[in-house]
Amino acid sequence: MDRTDQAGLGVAVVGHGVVLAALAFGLMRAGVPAAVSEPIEISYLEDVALTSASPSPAAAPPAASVAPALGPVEEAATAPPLPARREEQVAVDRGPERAAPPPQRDSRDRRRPDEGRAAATESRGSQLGPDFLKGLGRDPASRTQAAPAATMSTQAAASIAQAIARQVQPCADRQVYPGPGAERIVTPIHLRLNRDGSLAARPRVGAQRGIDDENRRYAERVADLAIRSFVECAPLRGLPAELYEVPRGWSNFTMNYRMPG
Amino acid sequence: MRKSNVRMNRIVAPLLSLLMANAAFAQPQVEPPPATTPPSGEEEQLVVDVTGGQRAALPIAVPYMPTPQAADTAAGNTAALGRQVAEIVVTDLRNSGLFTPIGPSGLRAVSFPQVTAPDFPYFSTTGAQNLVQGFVQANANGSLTVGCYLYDIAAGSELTRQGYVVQPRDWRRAAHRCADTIFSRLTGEGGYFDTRIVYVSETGPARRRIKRLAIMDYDGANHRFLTNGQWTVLTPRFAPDQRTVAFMTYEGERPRVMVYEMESGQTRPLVRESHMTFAPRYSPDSRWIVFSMAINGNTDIYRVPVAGGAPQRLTSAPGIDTGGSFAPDGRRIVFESDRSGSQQLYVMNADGSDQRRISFGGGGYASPVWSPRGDLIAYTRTGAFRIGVMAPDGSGVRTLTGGGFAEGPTWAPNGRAVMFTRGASAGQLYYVDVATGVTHRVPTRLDGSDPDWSPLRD
Amino acid sequence: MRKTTSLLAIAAALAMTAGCRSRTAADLPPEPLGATPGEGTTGTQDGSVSGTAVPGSRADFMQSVPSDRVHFDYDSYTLDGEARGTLDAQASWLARNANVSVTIEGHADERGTREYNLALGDRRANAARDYLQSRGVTANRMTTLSWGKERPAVEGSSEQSYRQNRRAVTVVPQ
Repeated sequence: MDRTDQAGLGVAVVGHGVVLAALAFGLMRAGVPAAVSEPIEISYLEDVALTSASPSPAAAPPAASVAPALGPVEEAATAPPLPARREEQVAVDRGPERAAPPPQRDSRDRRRPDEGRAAATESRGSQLGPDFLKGLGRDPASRTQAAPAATMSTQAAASIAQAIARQVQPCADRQVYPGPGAERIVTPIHLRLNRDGSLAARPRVGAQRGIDDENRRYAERVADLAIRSFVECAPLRGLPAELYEVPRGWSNFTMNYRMPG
Repeated sequence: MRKSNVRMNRIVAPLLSLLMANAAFAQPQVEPPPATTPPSGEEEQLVVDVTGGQRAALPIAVPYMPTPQAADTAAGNTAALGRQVAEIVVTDLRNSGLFTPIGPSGLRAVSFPQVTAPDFPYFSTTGAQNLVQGFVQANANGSLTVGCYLYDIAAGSELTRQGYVVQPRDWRRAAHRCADTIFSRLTGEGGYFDTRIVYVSETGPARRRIKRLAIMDYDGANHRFLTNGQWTVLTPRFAPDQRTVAFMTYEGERPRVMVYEMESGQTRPLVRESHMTFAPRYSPDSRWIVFSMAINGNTDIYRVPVAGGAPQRLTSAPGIDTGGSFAPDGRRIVFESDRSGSQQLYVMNADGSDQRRISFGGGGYASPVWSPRGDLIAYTRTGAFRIGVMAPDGSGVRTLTGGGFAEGPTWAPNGRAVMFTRGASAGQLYYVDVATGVTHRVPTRLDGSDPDWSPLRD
Repeated sequence: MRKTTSLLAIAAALAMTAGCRSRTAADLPPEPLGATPGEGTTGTQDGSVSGTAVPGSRADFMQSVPSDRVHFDYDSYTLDGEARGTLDAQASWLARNANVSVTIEGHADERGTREYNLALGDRRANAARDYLQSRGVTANRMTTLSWGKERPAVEGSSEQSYRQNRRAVTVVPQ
C-alpha cells in the first residue's frame, strides 16, 4: 500500500467515524429506534411519556376547548309533556349532536404543514436521486425544527393502538351480547381526546359494517356497546404527549368495535 | 493528471461508498403505505381494533318511581303505584332471563326532578350498566300518566323515553309497556310483556276434570273465566286481532270448534258439520281458521273463513293429519301427520299444495307452532314429552325443556319465548326463553293447560 | 294367573262402571264436587229390586256381554282377538235388541299430545263401530264420540292404568 492509499484509507476511516458519530447523535435526538422489534417499542413509549424528552411543540396551539363534560341530556325542570294515548317514540337521543361540535376543522388546518413534510419524506423512499445529500442534510434539521418531536411511524401507531386497546379491553369485555349475528357487526367510533386522555367530545358513531337482515335488529345496540366500551374506561392514561397532535396522532382516532363470535 | 485523478478516485470512491451506505441509514424512517385503507372520505387516522363482550344477563337498576304529587286514584295512590310499576318492570325483565335487575328495594329514592336528571355517579356504584327511571301521575280527568326513561349509566346518556296515558284499570299495562320498551331497546328484539294468555283452567280429579276457558295477563294478573266449567273445553286460540277466541267444546256431547266474540261474549259454531272438529288456529291476518275434522276414523286439516263459509279440505292422506299452524306471512302451514307411520311434521302451502315432511327423527313430533318471527317452529317431542324447536326446513333441531312432561307450545309475539303445559295430569303453565333456556312458572290459582299467547296489545 | 288377575281387574272396572251415566256433561255442576266417584256410581237405576234387568237397558247389556269395552295397544286402533270376541257378544245383544242405539266412545291414554289423542280416540271408536257393523249392526244405530285423553277410566301412570284408558266403550242408554 502506498502513501496515497494510506491517506485514502485514513480519510475513509475518519469519515466513517464522523458520520457514525453524527448519526448516533442524530438518532439520539430523534428518539426513533432504527428497525428494532416490538417489546422495546412498547417500553419506549412509556419511557417517553414519563421523561418527555422531545421539545414541547411550541408552534402547535393547545387542543381545542373542551366540550362540556359528559353528562345527562339537559331537560326542563318539570317533566316534559308526554303524548296522549298513542305514545310516540321520542327520537333516540344519542347525545353527541348536543355536545359542543368537535373542532375538527382546526386540527385539519394544523395538520397540513405536517402533512406536507410527511409527504416529502415519503416521496424520497429509499431511492437515491441526485439530491440524496440534500435529504441527508435536511433531516437532522427538520427533526430539530419539527413542532412535534416525531411523526407517527407505523411501529409507533401500532404500539399506541395496542396501548389504547389494552386500556379499553376490560370495558369491552363487560358489554352484554344482544343476540345471534351481532358479532358480525363492526362499529367504528370516532374519538377526540384531550391531552390528559379524557374525552374532548362525545364519541361519534360511524358507518357500521357487517349488517345483514338477520342482525340488523342489533345494530343500534352494538353501537351503544361500542361507545360504552370506550367511555367506561376513559380517561386513557400514559399516552405519549408528543404523539398527540401529530398526523395519525391519538388526539383524534377511530376505534373499530366488534363482539366476539 | 491521470495519476491525481486516480488518487482522488481512491479517496473519493470509498468515501462515496461510505456516504451512500450511511445515507440509507441516515434517512429518517420512511413510512410505508398504510396497511388498511382508511374509510373513504376520512383522513388517514390512527385505528384501534377492539373485540370484546360477554354472554350474560345485563345488570340494570330500577329504582322506585316517584310521583310528582301523591293522589288517590281508582287503582290506588300514585305513590304506591310508582312502587308497583317498578316491581312489575323488575319481574318482567328478570323472568325473561336476559337481565339482572337491581332494585327497586335497596336503591336510593329518586325524586321527581331526578327522573330526567339521573344521579349517574350513584347508580354507577350499583354495578348496573343501565338505569330505568319513571313516574306515575294522576291526571285531572281521572286517567294516569306513566313515564318511562331508559339511561346508559357509563355514557351518561338517555337511550329512550316513553309515556303512557291509561285508565286506572290498565295501569299494569303501562308498566308492561315500559318493560317492553326497555327490553326492546336493550336486546334489539320486540317485547312480550303487554300480552295476554288464553288457556284452560283445570281442577278436580283426573277422571272428572273441570275445565274452564280463562284469560289473564301473561304474568297471571287480571284473571277471569270465560266459561263456567259445565262442559269440557280445550285448546283456546286468540285471533291475532284479539277480537275472537276459537276453542273446542264438548257442549251437548258434540265436540266441535266454537268462536267466542270477546266484545259481546257470544259464541257460535265455526262450521255446521256434525263431525268432530278440533285444533283450531288463526291465520296471521285473522281472516282464516285452520282446523281438524275427524270423519269415520280419518282426521284431516281444513280451512274456513272466520266470517263463515264452506270449509276447504287441505289434506287427504289416510291417517291423522292435525295441528295446523300458519307461518307469519300466512302463506304456509306446518302440521303433524302420522302418514309415515309415526307423528312427524310437514309443511304445505296455505291452499294445501306441496306437502313436505320436515322432521325425520326417531320417535315423533307433534303440535307444531310457527314462530311469529318465522325463523323457528316449536313442537312437542312425543315419547319423552319435551318442547323443542327447529328451523322451517327441519334443520337445527334443539330441545328447550328438560325434567318432566311438557306439551303444547305457544310463542310469545317476539318469537323469543315459548309457553307450554308442564305435567301430564295436574298441568301448570311455564314459559322458557329460547336463547337462554331460563324457565318460569306462570302463577295460576288452579291448574292450567293449553295456553295461547296473544300478540302485543294495541 | 295373569289372565285371572286381568279378568278380576276387568270385572272390578266393570263393577265401577255399573252406574255410568252417559249424559254427564249437561248435569255437571260448575264447581268440583267433593266426593264425585265419576264413573263409579253404584246401584242400578232400572227400578228393579229383584235384580233382573229390563230388556234393552244398560243393565241388561252389562249382564249379557263380557264387557262393554275393548282395549288397544299403545298408539294402536287394531282389535285383537279378545276385543273381537267382546264385540261379537255385543253385536248379538244388539241384534236381539234392535231398537237400541248406542254411542261408541273412544279414548286414549295420557301419553299422547292432545290433538292427536282426539283423533286417535275417534279411530278407536270407529274401529269398534266398523266391526259391529260388519257383524250386522246397522250404521244408523251407532254414533261415535272421541274423548281423547280427557276421560281416563283410572288414574295412575302404570302400564296397567294406561291400558285401561286405551279403550272403546259401547254406551247403551239407561
